[in-house]
Amino acid sequence: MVLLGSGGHTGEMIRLLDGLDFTEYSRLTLVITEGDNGSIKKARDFENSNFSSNEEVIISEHEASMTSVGNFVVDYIFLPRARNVGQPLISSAITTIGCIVQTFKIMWSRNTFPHAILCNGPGTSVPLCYVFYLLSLVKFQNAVIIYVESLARVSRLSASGWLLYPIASRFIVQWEMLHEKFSRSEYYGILV
Amino acid sequence: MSRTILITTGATETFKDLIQFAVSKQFLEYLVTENFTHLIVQYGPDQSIISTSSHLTPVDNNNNNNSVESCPAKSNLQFFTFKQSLSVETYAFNSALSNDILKADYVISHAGTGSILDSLRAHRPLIVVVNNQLMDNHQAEIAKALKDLELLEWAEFDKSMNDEANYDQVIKKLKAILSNDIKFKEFPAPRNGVLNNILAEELGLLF
Repeated sequence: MVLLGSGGHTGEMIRLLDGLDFTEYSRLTLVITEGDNGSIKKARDFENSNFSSNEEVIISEHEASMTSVGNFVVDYIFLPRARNVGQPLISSAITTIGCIVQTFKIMWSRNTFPHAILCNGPGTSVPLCYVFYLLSLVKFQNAVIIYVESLARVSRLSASGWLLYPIASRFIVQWEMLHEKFSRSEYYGILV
Repeated sequence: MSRTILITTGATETFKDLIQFAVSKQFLEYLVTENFTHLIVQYGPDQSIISTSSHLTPVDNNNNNNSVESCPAKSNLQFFTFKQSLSVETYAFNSALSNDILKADYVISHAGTGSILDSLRAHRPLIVVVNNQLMDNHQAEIAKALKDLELLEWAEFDKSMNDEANYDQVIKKLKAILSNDIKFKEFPAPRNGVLNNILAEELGLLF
């Protein structure tokens, strides 16, 4: 499962996905915020250039769509926007909970839970990752969270990075300076 | 011999200073003296600076119908010339900007991660102009960090100086690149399979 979100993050994530070998996997779930047309387009372009699709089943315009290529499935989960500018905190908390509930409902209905979550820091990914983490503590599921900090973060972590640092199974940064500051982080040069 | 330079100013914010620089007499004349034949400008959501520029002569777009039709990725594509010797292509957005980066010999870009990476991955000499009008300016940090690695040059428009001095500063950097006074290191390709291996380790897969 890959969490996408807003321009720069999506761009970097697609670059990361371009280098991935999917042959050992059976499903790629892309989580996108509703109305984020830039990310949706980038995801579709990525899908079309990597997986020539045999059939496309659109389950619901707003909830999800799914493409299967042989045995490999690419599916989407579209989430409502977590936070509009000026939205009061309490109502944004409610939408965030709504996001999480919706994600699990969709995964439940498709009877599929991810084995790994790949995330590079869009805002909605933080609460979602925490829920997965808590569920893994009670052995409800056991997705590993892999976090790749954005290239734009040279010397300080992003807010999402800070929040996910304690719970990510693997935490990858792209600048040596960050790696020196955060001992759990891993550094392999620029990956995007 | 054709010699092309691309200026990309970002898609979400209008980077006024950089667009004004791109169509300034000072810069256009400099390009002519350095034998540039093509200038490509991606200007983003606001066309006004391009359409009110007094230095560009519109080219009858009928002559360019073919190229317009073959570029569905580009919106508001227009052609101009400067003193008959430099052809100038402008557009608002280009969903296939990396193709034009490949077409260009040199790139001047805003500090967006996408166009910086596309230029470096294509091994094009790059000057990044940082937009200090932006509130959240952590993108400037990558430009500076990559400059420390000698992978690109960077500049910013300093409000305390006049336009001419600011433009001159960018032109000087371009000049130093053209004359080989500034040489860049090669941008290393991403290490192969890092993420594949991490996933495999975590999931207990054997590749």
